[in-house]
This record gives sequence, C-alpha cells and structure tokens, in this order.
Amino acid sequence: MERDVIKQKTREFIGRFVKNREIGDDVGLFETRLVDSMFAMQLAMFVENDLGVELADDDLDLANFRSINAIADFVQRKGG
Amino acid sequence: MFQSLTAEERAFHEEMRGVVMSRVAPLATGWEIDHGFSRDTTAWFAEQGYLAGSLPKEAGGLGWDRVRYGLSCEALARVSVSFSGLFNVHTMVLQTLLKWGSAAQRQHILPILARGEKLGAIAFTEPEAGSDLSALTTTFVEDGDQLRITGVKKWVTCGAIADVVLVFGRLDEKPVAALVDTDTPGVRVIPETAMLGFRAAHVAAIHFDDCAIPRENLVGRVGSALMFLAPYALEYGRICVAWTAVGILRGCLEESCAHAEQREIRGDKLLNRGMIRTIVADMGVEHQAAWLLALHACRQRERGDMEASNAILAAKYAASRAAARQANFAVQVMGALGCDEHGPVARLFRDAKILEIIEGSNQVMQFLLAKSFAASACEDHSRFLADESNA
Repeated sequence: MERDVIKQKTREFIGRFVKNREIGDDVGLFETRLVDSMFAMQLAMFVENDLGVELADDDLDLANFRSINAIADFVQRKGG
Repeated sequence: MFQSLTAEERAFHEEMRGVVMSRVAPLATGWEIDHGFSRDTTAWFAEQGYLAGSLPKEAGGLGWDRVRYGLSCEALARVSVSFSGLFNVHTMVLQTLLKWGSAAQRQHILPILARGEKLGAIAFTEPEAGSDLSALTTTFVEDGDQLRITGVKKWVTCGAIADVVLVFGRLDEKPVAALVDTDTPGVRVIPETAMLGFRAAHVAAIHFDDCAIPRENLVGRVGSALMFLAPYALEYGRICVAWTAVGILRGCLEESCAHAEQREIRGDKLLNRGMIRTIVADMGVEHQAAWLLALHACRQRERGDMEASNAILAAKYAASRAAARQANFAVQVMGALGCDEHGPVARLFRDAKILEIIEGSNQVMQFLLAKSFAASACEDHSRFLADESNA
C-alpha cells in the first residue's frame, strides 16, 4: 500500500475518534490525550483489518502507533 | 427473540440449553450453598471442549464465533452465573494468549489451557485499583532470567481454583502482564467467601510475596499490557457479561411469569393485576432489548466494524443495568418466595448487581460511551441544521 494511502486511511480512522480537529502527521496521539483508553486496541484492529498488517506481540510498541507518520513507517516496514 | 438468530445459531443455543439443564441446573443451588461449583462438572465441560469453545479449531477450540460464545454464556448464566464466570475468565486468558502470546506460549501453554487440563483466571483488581487500572501497584522486578512479583490482587473470579493466573502489574513503571502458576512459591490464595454475588465462582484474593517466575512468562511486550492486552481481554469479558445479563433477564422473566400465572389473589391470577403486568411488560422489553444489543455487538465485531467496540460497551452497560433492575422486580413479583436465598430469583438478584461492576463498572461504561455518542450526535445535529437551511 502506498504511503499516502496509508496516511489518508489513518487520518480518516483517527477522525472517527477526534472530531473537528485536524491532526498533524507527527502529532503524538497518546501524549495529547485526544484519545481514550480503548483507542490503542481499536487502532491495532484498524492496522490489521484495514491496512493489512498482522500484528505480533513484539509489535505492541506504542512508538509504532504514536503518530500518523509512525503508523505509516511501521506499516511499510511490515510490508503492508 | 430467536427469530434474530440463524437456524444454526438457534440449534446451537438449544444444544447448550440442554447441556446446561442436564449438567448444571440440578447442582447450581448446592454450589451456592457450598460456595463453589464442582470440579467434576468443570472437567466434563472441559472434556467436551466447551471451556475453549471460542478458540479456533486449529488452536484446540470448537471454533465458536462471538455469537455462539455469547449464546453459551447466556445458557450458562440462566442457571448459574457463577459457573459462567469460569467461562468468562478462562476465555479472556485463552484469547489474550492466542492473540498476543509468544510463539512458545501459544505452542506450549495454550493447548493445556484449551484442553482444560489447567484452569486460567485473570487478575486485574487491587485493593486500591479497580476501574482505574493505571493505579496498579503489583510490581515485577527483574532478577536475572526471572521476574519477582510482589502485590495483592482482589476479587479474582475463579482465583481459588485457577492453576494459571494472568497477572497485570508494572515492571520499571511500565505496564506488563505475565502468567503465574498458582503453585509458585510465594503465591497465597485466600478465598473470598463473603461475596454478595458470584458466591459459587471460587472468588479469591491472591497475594504475591516476592515470587519468582521465568521472564518468558511475560505476555506481550513490556509496556503494552494496559493499552493493548487489557482492552482486548476485557472486550471478551464484556461480551460474556452482556450475555450473562441476558441470561439473568430470561431467568427473571420466566420465573416471574410462571409464578404470576399460577399464583391467585382473591380468585384471580396475579398476572391479571395491572401493576404486575406493568412489571412483566417492562421486563420483557428489557430482555429483548438486551438480547438484541448483545447480538448486534457480536455480529458487528465478527464483521470487523469499527463501531463494534462501542456496541460491546453499550451492550454490557445496558444489559447489566437491565438485569439488576429487573432482578429487583422479579423478587418483588415473587414476594416472600423471591427472598428465599436458595431460590432462583434471589441468586439472579445478587449476581446481577455484580455485573454492573465487573469488566469495567457501569460508570466507566457511561464515561466512555458518552464521548462517542456526543461526538456522533453533534455531527448529526450539524447535518440536520445544514439540511434545514438548504430546504
């Protein structure tokens, strides 16, 4: 999947949880507290179901999901 | 109600009801009195594969989807909420290992749990940390190739009979979860026998007194336990709780109506009294609503819908709240019979209350749901105003 597509899909996904606010590609999703305690798990499901990356236990590093760019980097590393 | 199920799902539910009525119903009241469901019955369910029903067949399970898993919880809870608690916690451990366990854990530990050779439980709650898991203080300390655990877990469902417990705590301040065998030196299990509900669920406090476990017992990456593992496990827990509440509601409706149908006051059936009809109408509607919310949530999750997470929260919240409310009315309809501690509705009344607290209290459910409901509603309102101005 092309990086731009990954980032756009991710922006759309995040937009379901963070309304009326544009999130920059390097904004820390968890540091800014824009998302709740359920978000990380839902993000993991999104990465698997919509971005086509099967997650293993070693992948559960918040740094991989920290921002839109981090997610795109991670997905591309995993070959998604 | 059952029209909303496929023919196969209806047949499955009938099968589970039959199993529960023959294997659990004759024993459930005795279990409450003795403060524990029996190991023999547990072993039988394990032999049939029911303890691991939700695991894929290739992982040693029966390949139930979440609808079938929920229907099995409903059938169990109608008769023994305490016994359904075993399925809840064992499944949470199984599913967490299946999804986030290491290759070695999936290869060596998961099959043993799947066969029911060992029973699993999950330990979140501490004396000072319930709804707020970020307040966990159980500590893991690295000691060579081992981890040493110190802390106390409270109200662990099936903690008194579990062979393996998935324990949540902190390692260097980072959230972690690890499998701990309950026969590990330094583990003390203290049954909690004075519970309002879940009296036969072998609830226990578990003390970890500097006990050592292999480092490879950690599940998932260090730091991932609260963000990924706990919500994943709790989602299965909430599905079970929602359907357990549906089972309680069915019990309330069946027992109340059977009583009101045969009981007479001044030559007239109790069911003909307006006040009783009001109660029964509300009870029936709340049962249907809970059933449909739970079913809808499971179907959404099976489809991979993003809205499934909220649907599961809503189902847990609505069903447990309805169960507690209607169990209260079931006791009222049955009068003094409803107050018999060894009777069916008294047990439903006690157990229903617990469902409003476990797997995230209903206040936590409200907190999480309100945000998403408000966001969607505000969007819809903006659209409404836009459509109105364009009209």
